[in-house]
Amino acid sequence: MVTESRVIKGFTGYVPSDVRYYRNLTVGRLIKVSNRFHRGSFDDETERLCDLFELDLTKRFDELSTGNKKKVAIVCALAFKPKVLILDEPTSGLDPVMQKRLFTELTNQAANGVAILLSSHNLGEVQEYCDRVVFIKQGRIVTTADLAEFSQPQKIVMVRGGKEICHSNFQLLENRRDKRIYRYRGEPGILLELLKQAAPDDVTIANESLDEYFMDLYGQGELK
Amino acid sequence: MNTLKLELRNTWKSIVIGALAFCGFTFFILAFFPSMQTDAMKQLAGAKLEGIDPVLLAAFGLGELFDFTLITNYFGYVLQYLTIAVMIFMMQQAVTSLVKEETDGTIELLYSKPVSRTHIFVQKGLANLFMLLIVLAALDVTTTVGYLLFTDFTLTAAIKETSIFYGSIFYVGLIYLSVGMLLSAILKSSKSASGVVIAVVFGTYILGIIGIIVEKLSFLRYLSPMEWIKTQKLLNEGILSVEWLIGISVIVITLTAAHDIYKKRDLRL
Repeated sequence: MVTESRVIKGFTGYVPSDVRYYRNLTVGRLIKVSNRFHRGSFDDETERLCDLFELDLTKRFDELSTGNKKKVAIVCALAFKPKVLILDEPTSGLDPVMQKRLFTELTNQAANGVAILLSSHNLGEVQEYCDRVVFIKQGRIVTTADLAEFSQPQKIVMVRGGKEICHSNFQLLENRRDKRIYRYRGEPGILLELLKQAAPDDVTIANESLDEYFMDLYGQGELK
Repeated sequence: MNTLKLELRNTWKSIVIGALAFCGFTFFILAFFPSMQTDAMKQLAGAKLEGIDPVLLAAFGLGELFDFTLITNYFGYVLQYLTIAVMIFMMQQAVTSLVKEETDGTIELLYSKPVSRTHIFVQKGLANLFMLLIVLAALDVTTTVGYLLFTDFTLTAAIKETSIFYGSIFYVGLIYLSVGMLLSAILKSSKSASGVVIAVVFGTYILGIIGIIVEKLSFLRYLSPMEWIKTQKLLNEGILSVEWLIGISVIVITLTAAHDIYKKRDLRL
């Protein structure tokens, strides 16, 4: 049971997935109200964040687009200098420029010691910016992974034609007609040697990304 | 105080509009009072009302208010319907105060801030109380001004009478606000609030009327707070001990239950 809820929320910033704040308040008023709960005011840091995310403080919340609503939530969560940040799909609705600014800001915050928990279906941004990843399915943690492992990723090798490759470094993922997909672990030199022996008609080699890892975990119904 | 300020900021427009509407109606009714004192009006009202069964008259609050040439009778009769309207309006505010945040999704902002549910509950309750005071104070001032303009009451006499009226309405208002807070903690959506509010206010009002018409069911009057403050009864007997006991018990029990339910409530978004 959580007994220190107020204390925890005092240093935790939260960005919801679907931002539904008080529709009749202006952006400026909303941010002031949010800061007041943390005994803060509309200070220089708040002003910097509003400038960074190009917020129009005079607009009413119900006049904003989805992306601008998200930006209001991001500024509210960051403005009081939290120690922990929880962001639920923070980039949904944001244009690429704002996404880039958000992640630059989050990277700076993390460098200053802020712990950031990011929930996202965009695995590209997770792979690019996060240190660790937790896969959750139906409310249960499926697995956790250190993304440093993905900096030297395994290879996904797609082969057409040629002989079948049987080697301990190769794991056959898919076999359809003359097209075979393998996961390869090992030295690149051995990979090239084995491919040469198999003499395929065509070959494609790619780094394994979180997408493939995710599909491997979720897509094949192997989770019991 | 942040939650209280936020609540007042979100509701002040509807409170001002409501208070203006009630005050305008009250002033309009009081402005008609001089015309009620003409002989033609006296004969017209008397002829129509004398033929009606006294029990039925009493049921509709006309038992001892027959003579509309007296401002206390005339305004007292209108006041019971004004009270129903004010109770519906204020209870609507109370019923939506907790559940509307959930229906609109705005509670996610409040719950992410360093405040407890008890704090939210208390601040919302205080906001409802403050709004009730504002509406009744505006009505009291309007009625006092109306008494001074359209009757021969002195300022002291007008203040004394209107204070009794609106003081008693405040007490009944507290009961409906408390029940409203309980309903707000129970309801799953604010969309059903209006129906529930009308059912509770009219339901208790009708219980009081049944208590008058059917002698065997006279105890039902005690379940109808608006029956406790009908003008003549209020001016002659005041609020009875049993009515204080029932009212305060309802306030304490409903607020305690509302707080308990709200603290354990699952967030639905």
